[in-house]
Amino acid sequence: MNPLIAEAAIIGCKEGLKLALVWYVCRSFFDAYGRPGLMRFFYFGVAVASGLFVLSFFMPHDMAARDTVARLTGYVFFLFFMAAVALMYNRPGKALSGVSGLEPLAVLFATALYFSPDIVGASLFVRELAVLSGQVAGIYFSGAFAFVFLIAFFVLLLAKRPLKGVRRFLGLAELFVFLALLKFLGSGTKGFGEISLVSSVQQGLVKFVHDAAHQSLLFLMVPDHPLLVTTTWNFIGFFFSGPFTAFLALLILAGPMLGYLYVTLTGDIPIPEGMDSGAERRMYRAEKRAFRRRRSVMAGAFALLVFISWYSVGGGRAGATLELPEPRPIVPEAGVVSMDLSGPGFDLMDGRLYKFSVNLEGETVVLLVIRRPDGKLAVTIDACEICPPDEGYGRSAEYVVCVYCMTPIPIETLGMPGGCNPIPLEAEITDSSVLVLMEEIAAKWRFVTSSKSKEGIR
Amino acid sequence: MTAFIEIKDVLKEYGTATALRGVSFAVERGQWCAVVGASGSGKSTMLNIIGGLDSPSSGCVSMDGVDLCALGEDPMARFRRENVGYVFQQSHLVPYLTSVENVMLAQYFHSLTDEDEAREALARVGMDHRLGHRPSQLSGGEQQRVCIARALINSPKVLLADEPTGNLDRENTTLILGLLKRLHTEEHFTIIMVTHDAYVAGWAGRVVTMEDGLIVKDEPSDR
Amino acid sequence: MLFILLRQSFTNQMKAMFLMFLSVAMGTAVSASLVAISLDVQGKVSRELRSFGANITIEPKVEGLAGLAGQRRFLSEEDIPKAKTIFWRHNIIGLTPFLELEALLEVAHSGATSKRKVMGAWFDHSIMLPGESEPFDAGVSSVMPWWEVSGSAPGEGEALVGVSLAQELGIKSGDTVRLMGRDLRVSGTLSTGGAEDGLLVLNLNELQSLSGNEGALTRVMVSALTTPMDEFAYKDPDTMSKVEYEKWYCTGYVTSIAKQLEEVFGGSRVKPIWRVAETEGRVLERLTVLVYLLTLAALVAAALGMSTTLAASVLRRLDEIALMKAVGADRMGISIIFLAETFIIGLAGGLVGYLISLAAAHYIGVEVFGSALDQKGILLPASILSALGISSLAAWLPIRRALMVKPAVVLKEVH
Repeated sequence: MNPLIAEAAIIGCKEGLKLALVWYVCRSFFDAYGRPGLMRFFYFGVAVASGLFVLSFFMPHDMAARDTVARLTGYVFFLFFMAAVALMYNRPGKALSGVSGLEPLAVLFATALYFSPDIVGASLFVRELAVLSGQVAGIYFSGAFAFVFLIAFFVLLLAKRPLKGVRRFLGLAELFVFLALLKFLGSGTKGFGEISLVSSVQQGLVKFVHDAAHQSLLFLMVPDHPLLVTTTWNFIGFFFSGPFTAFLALLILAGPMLGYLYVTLTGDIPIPEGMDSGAERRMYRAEKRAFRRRRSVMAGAFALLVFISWYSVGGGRAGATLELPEPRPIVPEAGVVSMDLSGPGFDLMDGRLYKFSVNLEGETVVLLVIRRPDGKLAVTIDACEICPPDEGYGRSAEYVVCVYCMTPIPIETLGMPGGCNPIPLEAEITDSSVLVLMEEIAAKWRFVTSSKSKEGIR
Repeated sequence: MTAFIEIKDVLKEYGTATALRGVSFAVERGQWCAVVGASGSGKSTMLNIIGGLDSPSSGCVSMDGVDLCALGEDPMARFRRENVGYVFQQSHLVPYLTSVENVMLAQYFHSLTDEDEAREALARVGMDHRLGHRPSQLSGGEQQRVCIARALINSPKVLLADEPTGNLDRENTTLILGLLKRLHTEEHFTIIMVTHDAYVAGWAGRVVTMEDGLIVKDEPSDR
Repeated sequence: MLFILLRQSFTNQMKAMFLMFLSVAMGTAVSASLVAISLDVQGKVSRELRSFGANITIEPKVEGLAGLAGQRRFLSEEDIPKAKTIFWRHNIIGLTPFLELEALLEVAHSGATSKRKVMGAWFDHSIMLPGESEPFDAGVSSVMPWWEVSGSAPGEGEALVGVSLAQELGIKSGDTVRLMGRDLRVSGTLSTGGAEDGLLVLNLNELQSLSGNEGALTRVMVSALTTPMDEFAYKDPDTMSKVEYEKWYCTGYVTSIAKQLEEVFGGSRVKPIWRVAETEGRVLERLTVLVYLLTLAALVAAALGMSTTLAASVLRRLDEIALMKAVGADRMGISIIFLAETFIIGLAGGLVGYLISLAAAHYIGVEVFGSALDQKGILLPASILSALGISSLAAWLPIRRALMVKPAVVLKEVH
């Protein structure tokens, strides 16, 4: 079978599974709270989102489009997450309360919002497959849809009756936590990219802080460059990068859940009047406690998932097979990127792999710096001329390894052009920092995007 | 209307041996009933079946309108801990737990533990001076009093006692029976008590005599 | 209450608890060190194998009748620097050329003559590559580090004798041999454990000029840094999609590198030495399967050990369980007590097992591979999770036994 068809099938399965799961839980939820009629609006919402797949035909099939969709997915996740948090802290856990006239609209809107980025992303992916193979997109679409329906069919078979005990585990807040959780999981291996939402916000923030300070100093006609040297900026940048980012993301995502767990699990249980016997009072408290515990399951699962992803993406990676450092964002000063030789928590000359990211006309370019065994510093772009640049290089025990094709590169050859080696950059190394011109980066980055050497392959 | 506790045509066989041969029997709320008979007459088996510790081979048992035979294992356990208090002959206590912990064990399986309440319950049976003692440090009568505290802690509807004074001397027997008497008269507990001792049976309001798996006599006590 | 029960359970049966802890800890330790080794072994073994030297040979292409007629073809020495101009130049970490001939060899002191294989090789030879400032070591030691020379490498007018040849002809260091009309002083003996032990080895350029084959080579051995062969590497490039072909081409498989070397060496046939290349991929795969089987076996053994101990403990505590049931415990209530026990044991066992595996893996790494193993951080949660997994698995049967207790029967029996 054509492997591309298989990929279409897999994405069909994934989307189908997600759709079916959400459908099943929502249906059981509406049923349990006596509002089965709301399901109609759920279907409308799905229909609206599905209609959006036409959008993908008007989108260019390049990395920028994919990035946009991924980002949108991230925003939608964040919206649902925020809604969940707001509902959680706005007890007393009323489900489906509020203005009843608005409920259908809310369901419709939420459903459409929930599924549209996934559907657009998936159809973009499928269309890309078609372009890659040079065949008609219809084949792939029908393949993907066949699997969406297949999965939906199986779920329908298995899930004839609504889930029991939904009320015990899910209030409205918990439903939202579940939806956010599924979104978090459903974005696949790259999916913990929602965490990188934080990092992109941070990049924006660091630029904003820089620009604001710079502009206001300029406005006051104070020459700021002697005052705020690049080092200072890079030091500030530390708080917006690397482990700090990961920790912040952890705090933002897991914090509210943990707080909620703490409040519900340790909170007092007031005993109503008229309970005379100790046994009766104890029973009442035990039941209340069990109820609170069940209602905390979703929040606990969410927090756990965030911790696991944090561990596997950040914390655990230090010991993983490949060392894959997080790039530190850097703001160029007057067209020059300046990387400190050493700073809080790092030393470029220690032989480990360092990555820095700069913004080049809206694109993020990652730079790679490593000390070679001969003592010289190799400064390159974190990409070669051939492989896709999204993954870059990692550091194994002895070599630098291309993450895409796992080809080992002898470290002593880093800084030499050609082959699978990262594209070298002209850099000036001073006593305290490594300087690279933005022009140089732009010139070399063109090799990556133009894929000139790829043309020569066949 | 059915009685508070009712067993009907209950047959119980252990392999080839038959412990109960179709016993029917009813106890009203607030009654203190003694079941007497020789050892092997089936009186303990009947008590266990009433309390849901054992199930009959045929026939049915109901308590407070609930058909016990229809309950599965877990619902039965739940029913038992909420409705039945047990006092055994050998004062079965967990040997490595103190008096108060033994009482708390019953609270734990019922719902939650509440140490103050457990202390109070022990005080009610006059054991407030022996809270931190293990069963091995207690006399037989004291152990049995801990058992009664444990049996009562979850406010059961009925107290089942299997030879509660079997291992005790006359003085302690009188003490325990006095305790039961107080529970019966002041708190209107329904008590079913198995014994082979006529003196002990004399404390109850009704005496049922069993023989060879059948009830042979059922009469009010002379007291 | 659960805490009190657990505390009592641990203090009252310390021996059983310790036994359970021990079996979980040992099982986890064995499996975690095995996995640590297998994770690290891929790199280590391929490095070990690479120290066995070349993984690519370049030989003259001999076709059809020419081959049958025994006609000799040669590679050209001029092509050598071209090897460092291919796409994969950075991954070629060593290469060395050879010339092999048959010639009449005469031993001076005995006068014995025989037709022998003679080989020319570069010792301590560097070449300058175009566009490079540093010379590139193309000597035989860069590819065959195990060649053991006693005496000194052959210089002008000198030769090395393979150890078996030296024994056969009775040649010692310092003797003189006569080859193609020229007297050569024996500068030492060569021991490789291979075919070279039966050869006379000269400096490559000297043999070329002696035999009149200037610039000619019969073989070039290449040591290349490669991506281990996986399933993808064996795919036929012609059936690949564009994306796949790009990936295949830009992946440093030994086959890709060989293909490019063939393009730069005129009239050559380039073959991966599968003994090495294949070992790197396929054999390692089998080794990994073996390691995982062993890991599974260790975990199962630990689970069995724990299960029997726990079963004995349950049997000892039957009265207690019966009593708890009589007091009102349901199945869940009983299970939780035992599950909590096994959870604690699993957690502690997993943690301690991981610590032991750290030490064991370090020791094995140093003993077997001569360097410490890279410990993978993921092993900590993995070993704790697997310890928890096996301990709850081990608890399954004993807990079932505990749940079957009939309180009416057991309590009656106790006296």
